[in-house]
Amino acid sequence: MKIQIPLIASYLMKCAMIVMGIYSIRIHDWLWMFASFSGFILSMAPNIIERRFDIRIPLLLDLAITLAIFLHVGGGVLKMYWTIPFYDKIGHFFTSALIAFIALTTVYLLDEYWAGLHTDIRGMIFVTIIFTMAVGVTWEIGEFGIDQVFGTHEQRDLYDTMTDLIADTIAGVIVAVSGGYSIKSGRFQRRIEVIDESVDEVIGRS
Amino acid sequence: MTEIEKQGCQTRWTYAAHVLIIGMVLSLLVAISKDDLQWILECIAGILISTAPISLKRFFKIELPGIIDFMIAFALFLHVGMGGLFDVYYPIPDFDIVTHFVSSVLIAFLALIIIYLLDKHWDGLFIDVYAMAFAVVVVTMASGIVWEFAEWVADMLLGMNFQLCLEDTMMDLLVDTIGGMAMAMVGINLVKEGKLHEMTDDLGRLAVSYVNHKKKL
Repeated sequence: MKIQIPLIASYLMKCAMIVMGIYSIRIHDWLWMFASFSGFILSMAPNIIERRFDIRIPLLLDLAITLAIFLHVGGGVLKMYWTIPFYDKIGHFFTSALIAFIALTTVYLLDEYWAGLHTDIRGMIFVTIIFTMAVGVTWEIGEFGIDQVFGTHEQRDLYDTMTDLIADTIAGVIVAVSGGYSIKSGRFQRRIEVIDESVDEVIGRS
Repeated sequence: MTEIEKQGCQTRWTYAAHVLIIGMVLSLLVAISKDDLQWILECIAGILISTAPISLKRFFKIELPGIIDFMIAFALFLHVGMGGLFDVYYPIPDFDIVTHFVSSVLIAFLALIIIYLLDKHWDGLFIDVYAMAFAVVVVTMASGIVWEFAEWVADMLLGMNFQLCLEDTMMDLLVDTIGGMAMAMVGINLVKEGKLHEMTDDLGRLAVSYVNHKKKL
């Protein structure tokens, strides 16, 4: 079997999340202990989906999901959110990149298999960018709602919120444009080949 | 609807739009008499933008649906005319929620028309009604952010205070989202009942001359 570096990296990050969970128990940080373990379970979601529904998830997507959760958990447990400036912007960037990648894959698959949508690459890029921006807004509105209802301070100030949204937008643009180019060159299709085949099977089954 | 009725409907909306533009001109005069520079600039911008459909018709022979003329003028009038002429921002501080709602409905409507025309006439896009509604909501939310970015940058560079505070900005974004959703729901009905097709008849003919004909499948 070929050594797949992304696969190893993904499993290393998952193990690291468990280690961080145990470390949080040692320092009695119950909030981030909960975050680490639920992050671990969330990052196992692709594997669970693969087992349970017989849909294969592309390795790149698995890696991206794990990386986004790992950055968040690591930032919380090791207090990097508070010590490293702009750390939360990095987190926002990677999470939005992940969402943009999921959006692009979804649009690509819908374009291919659903009769209700046929679009060219420019349309896909556009939808990916604006979808990522809209998810950013939804996230911020969610934080705002939580702050209003529970009196917490998820959103620090206006500057913080605006830079979050800018990080989201930049991530969306980068992923959408590079994704568009890789669709053109055919590399994207190879990356998501496994889920493509799975969808094909699911549609064939019904 | 017969052709004459449609024409009548078209001119009625356009008349209403003209009345609102005159209101904005009055508000400009008041602004000049009060010597308020920011408000004068806002009035001029409002008048220029809301007369854009007239110039489009005159110089480029592009006729927008009358209701769009009206909505553009109405959104700007609410801000410039009501805000300036009647000073509603002071007794009703939440008035900008209304203006945001109206302008995001307008943006959503424009997005709907553009997507609809592309769907009908362009080879590169074929889209289901519900996917169209989804795209309309998402475009409206994204343009809400672009607007807030612009305000933010203006605040930083020019030292203005457009974005009052975090609460205000978040309410704006929330209202934009709601406006987009409302328009998308109305839009589904408009498309299904074929009313949008009637409204965009002229624009459709124009679009045909610019983009590829959709191949009959």
